[in-house]
Amino acid sequence: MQVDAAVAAARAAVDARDADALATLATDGADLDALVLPGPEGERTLVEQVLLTGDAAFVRAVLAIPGVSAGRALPEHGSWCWARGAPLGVLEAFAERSGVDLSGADGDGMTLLHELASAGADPAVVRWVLDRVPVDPRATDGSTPLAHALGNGNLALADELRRRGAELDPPSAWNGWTPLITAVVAGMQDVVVWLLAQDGTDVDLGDATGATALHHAARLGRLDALDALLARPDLDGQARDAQGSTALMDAARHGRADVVAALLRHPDPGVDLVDPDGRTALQHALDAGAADVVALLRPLTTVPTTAPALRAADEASGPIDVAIGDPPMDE
Amino acid sequence: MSRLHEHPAAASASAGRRWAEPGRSPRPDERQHGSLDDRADDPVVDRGDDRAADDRAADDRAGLGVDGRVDPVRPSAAWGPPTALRLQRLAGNRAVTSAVTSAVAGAVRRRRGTAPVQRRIPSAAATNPLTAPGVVDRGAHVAGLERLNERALSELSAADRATVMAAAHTAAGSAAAFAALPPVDRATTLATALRTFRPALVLGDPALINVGPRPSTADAANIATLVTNATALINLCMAPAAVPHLRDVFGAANVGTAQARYAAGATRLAWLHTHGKIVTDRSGYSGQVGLGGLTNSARMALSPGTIDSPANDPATVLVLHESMHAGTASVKDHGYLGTPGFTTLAPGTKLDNAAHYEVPARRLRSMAHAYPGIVFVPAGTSVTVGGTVHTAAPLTPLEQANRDASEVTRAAWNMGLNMHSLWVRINLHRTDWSSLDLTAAYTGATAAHFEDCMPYWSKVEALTVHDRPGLSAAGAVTQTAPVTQIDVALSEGLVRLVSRAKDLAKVQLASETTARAFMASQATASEIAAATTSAAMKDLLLLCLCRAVGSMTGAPTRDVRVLNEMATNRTYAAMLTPRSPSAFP
Repeated sequence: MQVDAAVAAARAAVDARDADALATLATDGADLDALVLPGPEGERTLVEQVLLTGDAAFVRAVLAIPGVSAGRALPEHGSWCWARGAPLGVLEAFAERSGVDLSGADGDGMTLLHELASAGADPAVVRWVLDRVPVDPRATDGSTPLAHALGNGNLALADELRRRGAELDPPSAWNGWTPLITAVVAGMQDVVVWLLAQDGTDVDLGDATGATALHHAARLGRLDALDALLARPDLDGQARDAQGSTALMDAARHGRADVVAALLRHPDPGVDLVDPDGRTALQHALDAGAADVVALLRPLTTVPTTAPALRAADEASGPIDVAIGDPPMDE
Repeated sequence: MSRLHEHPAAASASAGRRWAEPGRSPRPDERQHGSLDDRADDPVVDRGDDRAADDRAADDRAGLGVDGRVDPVRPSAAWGPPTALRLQRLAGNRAVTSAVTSAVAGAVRRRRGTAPVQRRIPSAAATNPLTAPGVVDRGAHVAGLERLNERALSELSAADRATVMAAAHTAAGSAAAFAALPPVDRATTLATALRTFRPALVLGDPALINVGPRPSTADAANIATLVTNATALINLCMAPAAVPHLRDVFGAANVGTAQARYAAGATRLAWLHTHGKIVTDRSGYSGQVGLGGLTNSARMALSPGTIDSPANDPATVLVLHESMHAGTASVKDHGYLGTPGFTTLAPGTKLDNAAHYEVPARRLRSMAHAYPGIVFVPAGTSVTVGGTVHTAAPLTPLEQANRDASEVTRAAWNMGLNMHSLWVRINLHRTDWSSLDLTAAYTGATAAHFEDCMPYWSKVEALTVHDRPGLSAAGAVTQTAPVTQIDVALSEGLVRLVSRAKDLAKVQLASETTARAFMASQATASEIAAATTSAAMKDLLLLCLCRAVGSMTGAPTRDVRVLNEMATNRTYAAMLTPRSPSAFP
């Protein structure tokens, strides 16, 4: 049978929910796993078209056709995407007939649970899946279903995952960002509050550069997040990143008087701490020419400011030669 | 659309809108500050260093807020993701790209018609020593000054031109007296009139290109803000909520690679900042040549407008774009947002194109030109995202020609920028002309010294270097300097014109329809009929662009050769090859 004819026949069979007709196509030699069908919502593989009908009985019947292999028909990457909006019955049918491991991961380590978490799936579906798969699978990028749920602001699912023991601080494999850091940077205050309300959240966990959520909030001027972080009694106000910088120094360097004022509410913000260059937060404010920050810090700072002001700026103020030994530049 | 069939990108679009920036007060005009290309590649005129001017240019490029036009790709009641998706389904990726670009066409055309324009010439202090009686190679210097005057005049409005000419006539005594002046006196008189009419026409000090933070200014703090914001945005592109966007743009199979390149970009950005390698231009050059950023792994050069107004999304995305160049050597520019074929490039090309990394970031920040809900399908292929197979037809010959011609202009511009940096270097350090070991200094260079290769490029770019046998790397006499400020100004002016061709291509070559109309306006019927292949169509489109822009170095046919020569010699290995000027007829 010609491919075009097979596609047309398969399209008609799917529209009619006629598994027998598809079985006949397979008997006639059509490779059902390889068929791509046009449709009003675009083109999909036959098996995905069937899964997306939402008709559990039809799914069950098609997956029972000899030669149909869901594992072969689904792509290597994003192979669970079809399930993002699937009703429970379809997942049950898939689990029953496909032979595919529901805890299996695609080429990026993304599992069915990752996809459901990021899609805001029906809670009943998620609960059904959670009864059958591990709660904390790690994708290649280090993300867990909880990280995806939080990244999309799905706090109800986050509650469910947490009840089942999901880890709260899985770091990204790329940058070490925890869900708390991500939420702070993204400005997702409800997620920040949710995470800080959890007993297990390590509020002082640093990323790959050693920067904590407090550092990020200070640098970006996330005042709401700062307030929430400062309300945690276990917050380390003097945490240093890999460069030896504290959140107070970062805020001073950025000239953020509002952030500095917020950080000074911490019982021990480390006003007199110095970085590896010997500079206090006050010195950073002086270097940045931030008079309002200086006014806040000078009365509190007892360490003499010895580092030369504007040193970094002076060093970089001259013309910089054309790049030597490097490829041409891209605009 | 039922939830069952909802595309992940559509779902993620709403999630993306959550990535707001609390604590940051939206500016009243913020809605208008998205840009088709935040690289400020539209000629920013009159006030090249003025952030407000940059922003206005960005507004124009975005086609927003200028005349109440609705942006077809901006999430809105009229044109949200469902509509964009519908357009994609009905007519494909190309239709979406066409809609994006056509939306800016009117604004860009309008800008061309009304914006004040300029072309710079060196100061009198710089040109007088070159045109005085008895100086070495005086004829070549004067010819160069004449070309600068012609370019400057050609960009003035008719009324402004008349004003300048009247001033020149007055200085000479009368129009007849002016016409009777010797060429050198005509050139200097006219240059004086131009400088007087618009002081901003005077070329800035080349030594102020690529400078670091100025002491006692907010430069250092502003750069820190830029880096902080860009670092945050780059890292958000690696976060779980960005995965659907990465799938849409790069394909599900390339999510990991894209994430790794974002990570490399963030790492290199931090290195560049820590080592003081983020620089800017205080000479006015960036504004002249439409340059927003120029980056390799060793340096990131940003426009002054970007550094002076760092706390806005366009500036942040610009730094993200540049960081992608810095982080991964293979990430170049193969097409900007809205250029022909942007959504239908091959996966490998997208992964190596910095502008594609902007798209997820723009979605996360709900910025303009984020292609919301659009799946990027390579031409002639299908991709599966979210269980849906999206198919894009192969490019037609004219569509391919649009893409290729557009790329020639962009690549030529990029080469011109790098070549300009070489001219500036020699201008500032004349002994480099014959003493700097190029093979040691520049990767892949085979010419021993600048003197072995740059005369060729002087001829290509219509500078004066190749016409001055008396030049010398030794001594301090300006008239014999290998590269004078007249040359620097000529190079700057050429890059500016190439930038204009690039911008014109973005609009006129956006679709088959626009390209056909453009050819009809610039080419003869027989020329159009003779262009039967994609390659011939590309050549004709380039010729049309050169005709529309006006003389860059000479006749349009020569300018086409110049564009091709520049575009095909972008690496230092190609630029710094021993060549005689005679090799470019």
